Amino acid sequence: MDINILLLVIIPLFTAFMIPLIDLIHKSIRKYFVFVSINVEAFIAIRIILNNFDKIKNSELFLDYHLGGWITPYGINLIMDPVALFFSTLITFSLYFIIVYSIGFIGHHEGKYYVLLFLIFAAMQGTILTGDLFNMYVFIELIAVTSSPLVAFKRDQNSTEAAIKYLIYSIIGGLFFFIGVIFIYFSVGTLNMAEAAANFGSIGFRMQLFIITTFLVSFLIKLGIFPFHFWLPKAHSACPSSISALLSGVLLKVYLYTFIRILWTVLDYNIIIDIGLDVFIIYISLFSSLLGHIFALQADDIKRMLAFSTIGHIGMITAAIALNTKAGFYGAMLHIIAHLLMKSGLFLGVGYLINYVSGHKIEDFTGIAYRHKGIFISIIVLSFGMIGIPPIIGFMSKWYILLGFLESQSYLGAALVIVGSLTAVIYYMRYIARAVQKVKVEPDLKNRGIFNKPIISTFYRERIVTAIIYLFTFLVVVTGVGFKMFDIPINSMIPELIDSQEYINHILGL
Amino acid sequence: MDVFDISEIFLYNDFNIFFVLLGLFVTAATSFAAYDYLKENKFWYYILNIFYILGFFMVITTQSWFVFIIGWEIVTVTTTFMIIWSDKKIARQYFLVQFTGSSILLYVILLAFSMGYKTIGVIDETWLQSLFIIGVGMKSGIFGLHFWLPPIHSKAPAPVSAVLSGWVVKLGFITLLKIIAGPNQFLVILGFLMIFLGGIKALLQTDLKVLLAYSTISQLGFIAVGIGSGSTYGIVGAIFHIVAHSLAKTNLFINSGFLEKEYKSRTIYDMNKIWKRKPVSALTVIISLLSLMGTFFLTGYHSKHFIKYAFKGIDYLKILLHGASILTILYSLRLAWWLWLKNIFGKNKKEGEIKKRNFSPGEYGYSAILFLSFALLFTGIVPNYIYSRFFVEDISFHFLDGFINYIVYFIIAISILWRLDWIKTKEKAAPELDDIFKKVNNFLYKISGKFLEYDTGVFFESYLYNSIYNISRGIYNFIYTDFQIQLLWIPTLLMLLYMWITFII
Amino acid sequence: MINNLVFAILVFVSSYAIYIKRNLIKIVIGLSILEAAVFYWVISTNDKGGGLPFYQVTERGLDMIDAIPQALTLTGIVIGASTTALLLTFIIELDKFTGTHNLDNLKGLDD
Repeated sequence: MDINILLLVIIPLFTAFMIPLIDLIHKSIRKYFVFVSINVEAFIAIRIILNNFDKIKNSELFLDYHLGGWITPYGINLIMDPVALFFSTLITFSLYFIIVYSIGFIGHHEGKYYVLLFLIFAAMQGTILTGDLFNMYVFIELIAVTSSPLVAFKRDQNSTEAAIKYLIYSIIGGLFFFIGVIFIYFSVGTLNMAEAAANFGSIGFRMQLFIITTFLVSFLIKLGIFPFHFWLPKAHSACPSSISALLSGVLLKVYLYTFIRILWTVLDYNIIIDIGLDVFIIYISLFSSLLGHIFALQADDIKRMLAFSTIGHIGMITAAIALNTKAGFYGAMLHIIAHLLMKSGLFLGVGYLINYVSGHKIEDFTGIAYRHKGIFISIIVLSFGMIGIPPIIGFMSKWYILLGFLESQSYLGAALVIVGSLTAVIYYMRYIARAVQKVKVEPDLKNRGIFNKPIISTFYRERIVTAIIYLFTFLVVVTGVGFKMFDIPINSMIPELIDSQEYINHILGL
Repeated sequence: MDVFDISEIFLYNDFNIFFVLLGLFVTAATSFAAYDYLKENKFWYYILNIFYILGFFMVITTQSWFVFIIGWEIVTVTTTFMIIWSDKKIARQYFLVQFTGSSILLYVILLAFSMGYKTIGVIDETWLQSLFIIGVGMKSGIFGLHFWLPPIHSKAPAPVSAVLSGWVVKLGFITLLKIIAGPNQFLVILGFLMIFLGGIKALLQTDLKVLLAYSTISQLGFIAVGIGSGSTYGIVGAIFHIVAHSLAKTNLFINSGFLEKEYKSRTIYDMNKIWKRKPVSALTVIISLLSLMGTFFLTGYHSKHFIKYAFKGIDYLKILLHGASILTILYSLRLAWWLWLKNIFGKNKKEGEIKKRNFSPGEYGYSAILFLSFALLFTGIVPNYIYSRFFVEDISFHFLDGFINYIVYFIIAISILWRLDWIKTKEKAAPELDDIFKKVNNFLYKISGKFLEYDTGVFFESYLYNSIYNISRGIYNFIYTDFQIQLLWIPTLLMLLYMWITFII
Repeated sequence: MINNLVFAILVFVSSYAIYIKRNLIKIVIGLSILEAAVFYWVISTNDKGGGLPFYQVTERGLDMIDAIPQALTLTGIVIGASTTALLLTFIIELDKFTGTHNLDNLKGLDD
């Protein structure tokens, strides 16, 4: 009964509800309150790691918390095992940086923004840490409800249309998740994940397949794999840049966590292998990845291009996970870290640079490299990482994913990954080449000093924003050179993924 | 996971140290030459040079595939940035081509890795060796994947061209030396195709740097033939030719930069009697060209001879090699005539005498080219210096045999050239990478019976990118139709999955 | 048996509304009908006889029914209501910009 896990979920919720009250007192205290709150959250996350450091090194970490004191089959419990620890730490630290960036970046409607953002934070932590199926459904729907106003934050026509499309797809995806949970309840009689996992083998074969397919379709909609990806480019490009980084970098990783947790721990992945459905998952993910890269070649808007690139990479990660081999998992987890850092950094950097141009089409991108050379060099470094150039972490994760594919003798998969990174060169280079074109500045514009002003009007906010972008670049290079530091966390996750018996024993045995 | 399983990542045996030192020597020469050649931002150029040296050090001395490919990517990125000193468009095309090569190489390396070859060593299966040849092919100018070499090497600034053509393309062959142990027919066939293609095209060029680029392709063919022959003589010949060609081509490219700045044009017809205006350049150009031809007191002689000796028993290959040597002498002699000897006995004796010099290479430039020429002479006169680093048994150098061969070639070549009036062809524009794609695309459309006219879009600046944009927009419009049809994918796929599990399972 | 049939009919009706109708409000109505169909199916499957919705017939006579599906349904109804409210808000906002909520005039949603 470790209360730190509960605090990880409660603190953002508490902050979200306190912000309107703080607004009543005085508006400028808001950002300090937000900053204090995320510091407390990060402190708790570090405390969990430090308290259990020996257990983490021996990969026998297992913390839990029973809500309300009810014992296991009758109540909801929050579980932290190595997989949940990995994802939860990733979420905490990346949201820390995104919220600090938002303090500097968002200029209007800040109160509403922070309330929604902290609600998403609490919901994401809840999704990762929970051990109960219906609790996961509630948190997933909470993510959908609170993220769609954030997509429509800019209040213009494009954003509202994007929010409508995003919400319709989220509702349908959530509905299939609900149907799956109901069927598990009607077959097994319990909603607890461990108990459902223990009793899943005793259901009839048809019912097992039905439940598996329903959950699979729900995850494919949420992850943005090919036939269901239509919401992704519009939603990720119509929102403000920090929300793009959140949606594209962090939120999709939470859905990958639910994909892994439900299909490997609760339902039996060996059934999927027996009927051949894993071949379907691998090939549709690879096809989705290829289409994502091809569509990015024709995107005229830089944020749409980055969103299509996300579709490409998430397809690659899903295919690597679905291979169900040790090398595949290793590559996929490393690429989760890599893609999170690089894509968030790219969205944040691009958001800063296009802040003073009228739109983010490619014509507006001409000559933008000279607005702020440091940030543009960071964008070049991050783009090189997305392509896969050492010593940035994108290369190391590409190596391991390719190794995973080639060791399982899926030669077509490896070839598609290579083709994907080749097309990535073409579309990233297109924008970079456009940005370094020299622009003729009219003399009167130059006299007005419009190009000498910092992009964001208040000085300290500009400092915060540029510091965060440089921090992402620094992290990307440092984790690339020292990618071996992720060896222990990832290797401790893999035995548990391949065999879920330990998870069940830990929970039901207690 | 298991990338660092081997106990040593870097292996410092004689082979690796020799090539690292050779690379350092050549790169140092180009850095000296760049001191007065490049005008601005010299500090960043030298930083890039340092990282480039680090890159090829990792490529040559490492035993682990992981560090190998990291080193090669560093070489790619730094040379891309070095090309920016002349033209950004060329840098972008070069990066795209090199990255394609790296991707294919990465695939083949991981294929070998998953089959059990965890370190860089001899690979037994022939088909895997052939895949490796394709893998390094794009980066080392193997036939079929060499199309990028003339446009890029001719448009880069002169010291960078020297680096690219003198050393970067050799890295692939140094790796092949470590991988291939026996005879490989694929490599021999490709090598001969490269020799003849490069040589014939070099005979027809009017632009100095394009001619040197085609000559690079041709000489790399010799190295490929040497490695693919599989015998000790062939490998010795390949090593000597790597040495000879690096030194000679670096020298020639640096001088081409100096000559271009002096005469303000790149056409060889405009450069007359260079020994009057730039005597040092003229001397070093002649030494390098003589080495390329295979003159007996320069390194080029030993390499060509050993490669010929490797195929001692096979007659038709020996005839092809004789033809190859004659071809090399043909274009080198043609270049030498246009630069040195034209109008030397003719009516326009005063041509080429100018009071003022346009460009002076400076003391660093002079020292660079003089050191390179001295190295050529040294390794030519004392070939045992190199040979004793690799092999312990004695080998005979067959001086008399080669001398007779060389005189015969020389006479044949001079008579052919005299007949054809030293092949003065028409000047045409330098090759562009874009034209190749335009030809390929038009060819494909002619097959399908249509001829499409693409309007040059606002966003892309060249034909290749335009066609990529239009194709992907076509696919995009095909898939994205209407909002409700996009929504309709969901129940369709759901029903298909349900029917599959109901009826088929 | 008949509850499954009603569920199927409701799913077909909602599919007609979502995929064929061109008015955005009708699409939202279709989504609501789809969610209502699922909730109906959950409750009616849980019905084990007994006259009243919370009674079932066991060997001890009338006994309380399994309450969890009803709790899940209540949660689902709340979530459905809030998402429908959000959707309608966005449609009103869109109407302010373009003056229409017909899919024939809104081409931006196709992108």
